[in-house]
Amino acid sequence: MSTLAAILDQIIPPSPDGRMPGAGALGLADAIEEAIAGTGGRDWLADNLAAIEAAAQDAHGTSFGELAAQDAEALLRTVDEARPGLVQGMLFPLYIAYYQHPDVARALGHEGRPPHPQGYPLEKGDLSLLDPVRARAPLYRQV
Amino acid sequence: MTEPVDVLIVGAGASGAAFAWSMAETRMNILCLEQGDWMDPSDYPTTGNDWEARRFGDFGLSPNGRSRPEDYPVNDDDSPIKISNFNAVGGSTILYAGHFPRLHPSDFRVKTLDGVADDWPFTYEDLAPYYAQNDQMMGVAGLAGDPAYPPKEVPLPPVPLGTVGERLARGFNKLGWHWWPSDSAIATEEHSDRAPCINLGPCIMGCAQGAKGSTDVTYWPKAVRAGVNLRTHCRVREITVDENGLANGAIYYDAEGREHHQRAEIVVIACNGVGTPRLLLNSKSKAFPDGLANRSGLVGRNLMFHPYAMVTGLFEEPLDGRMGPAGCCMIGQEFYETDPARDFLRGYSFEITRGMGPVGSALFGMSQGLVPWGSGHHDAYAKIVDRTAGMVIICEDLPEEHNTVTLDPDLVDGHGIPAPKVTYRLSDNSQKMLAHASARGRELLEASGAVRCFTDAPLPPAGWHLMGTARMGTDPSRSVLDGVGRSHDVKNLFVIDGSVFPTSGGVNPTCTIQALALRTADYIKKNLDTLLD
Ligand SMILES: Cc1cc2nc3c(=O)[nH]c(=O)nc-3n(C[C@H](O)[C@H](O)[C@H](O)COP(=O)(O)OP(=O)(O)OC[C@H]3O[C@@H](n4cnc5c(N)ncnc54)[C@H](O)[C@@H]3O)c2cc1C
Repeated sequence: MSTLAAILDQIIPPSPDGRMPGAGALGLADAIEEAIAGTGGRDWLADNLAAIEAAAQDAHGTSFGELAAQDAEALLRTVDEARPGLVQGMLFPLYIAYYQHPDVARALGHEGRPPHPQGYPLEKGDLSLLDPVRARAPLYRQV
Repeated sequence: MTEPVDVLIVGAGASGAAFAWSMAETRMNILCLEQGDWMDPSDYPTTGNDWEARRFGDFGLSPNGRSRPEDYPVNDDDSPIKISNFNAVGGSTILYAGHFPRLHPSDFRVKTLDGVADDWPFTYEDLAPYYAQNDQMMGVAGLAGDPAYPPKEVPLPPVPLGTVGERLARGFNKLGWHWWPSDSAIATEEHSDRAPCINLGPCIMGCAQGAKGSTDVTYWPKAVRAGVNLRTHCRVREITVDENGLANGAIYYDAEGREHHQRAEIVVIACNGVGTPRLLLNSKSKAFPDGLANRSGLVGRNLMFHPYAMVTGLFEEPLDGRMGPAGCCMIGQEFYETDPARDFLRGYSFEITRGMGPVGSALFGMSQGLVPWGSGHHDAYAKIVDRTAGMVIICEDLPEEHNTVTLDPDLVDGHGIPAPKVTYRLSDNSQKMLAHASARGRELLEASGAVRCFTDAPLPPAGWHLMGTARMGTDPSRSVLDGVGRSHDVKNLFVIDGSVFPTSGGVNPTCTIQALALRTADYIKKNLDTLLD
């Protein structure tokens, strides 16, 4: 797993019950890299990835992707504190990429397909709830 | 290509379409110039899994962020409310939510009843037949019998309430407040070649089903079949006048950027409350050095939005809010009419909105600090997704001359035409109304079972109702147009879009804009022989 994929897997980790996939394992790293580069953040990202790798080597003598989940999250929080905005700068493209993924949608109990062309059924609702409103005198001002 | 025409319409949005269709029966030579193109519904966001992301790209609300070639920039830095629009055949109805309430009779009598602003130069009853005609053409769904309005028919059955609507209905009833299923320009049954709504969700990104009544699927196909010529990718730079001060056509750029002078007997402007004053102010001549039809100095003044509050509630149990027409569910008008006991004049409508999709839920959770990253992420997110519902609240805006559309001294569009600049301040009345509305909105959500509420007021992107910048009236020194939308200064020039509103009411404006356009067309049709005397 690349450093970025390993980071994404800490930002949105797999859920303990295994229902929700981790963001890194979902293969979103390329899309996130592209989105960040598209807004002029290529150097910012490279710099931060290097800082995280250096911190992992310093603290654990291994690469970030090799760390146990608990150590990885703690390390990411430490580096994020020292470099404010590191994680925040990835959240917007990550939340979009993750939550529009069909596997994630299905894990949420949604259909995991575009809304069109099937659409969705929807309850018409109980229009007898209008009875008290129907019973009211006209509300509009007479002119 | 540039044969003279009888009637030239600029702009193919809500009003231009209704007007063109109505005029078509005259068999006159009618041409509409539109800077945008026909949209392709098979490319609308809901046809892909990335539908929520496209709100931040090619289906954004702001022309500045969206930057399609058809868009023109708007400098709205000096306004807390930012411009939202769309430029295509169908105009802003491509993105609109289709919420379709009429004005109330009292909205036409603001000065008489409340001593502020102005009366309209006609009444609700005068407009009622055109509202009804427009409801048929746009395919309006709803329910007759709403006690907030004089009796009226509604062509199609209402949009489904869903669990969101039922929940909010119980909240309204608990408080004893008025609510009613929304009048919605959404075909809930097959209507006039349109497929019925299948509850895709985000109507404000274009309707891939064709059920929402955007005018590219309602009026335009009929108008074109009846002989109206709609020319796309044509951006009008200015309206020209002859030596007698009559409008005689328009200079425009075609798709290849070539300049043309289109001549016409009658010119009708339908570019919306920002595009129209921009075009008039860009149309300077010896006879009109301050812009066309601007002897009153009021072109571009009295800009009205509806200041919006958005109140979102978080519920504990799952709701179906990601499905169904996002902006059409129910309307609440308990606080619509002026109440002397309140500290503001006029009033507002609740427009109940549904929920959010999975991406929207995550971004909402992030922005409100409800969803952390890391190990707590999924538990926190699960408490939000499919658990939001709420409303936007549409507050009446009163006309003030210092709220303006002017020409930006530096900013230009892709053809080098000066772009509009918006200058707008929220009035004291609006601020008090927003505060009242936000508090009542929270009260309603709490009565409906919400465990937390979030308020955003004034809602920044809510510059989607654009009104007042070429107002109608009887006094040429206090208005730009007469009571049928004809310029006081130029007798063969008409304006038919939201610019014409003397006051804004507290409801979405489009059915009124279109009813007015149909009424202007009717006036022209009935007076063709003497129109230019
Ligand atoms: C996100 C959103 C949601 C909305 N929701 C609702 C709702 O629920 N209910 C409601 O009533 N209203 C709603 N509205 C507002 C509604 O869309 C407008 O009131 C309505 O479309 C205005 O009609 P119009 O004819 O005045 O202008 P528009 O529909 O904006 O049409 C103007 C047309 O003129 C063209 N044009 C402008 N300048 C030029 C030029 N120089 N040359 C050539 N062509 C030009 C434009 O390209 C455009 O197509 C919403 C709007 C938005 C953006």
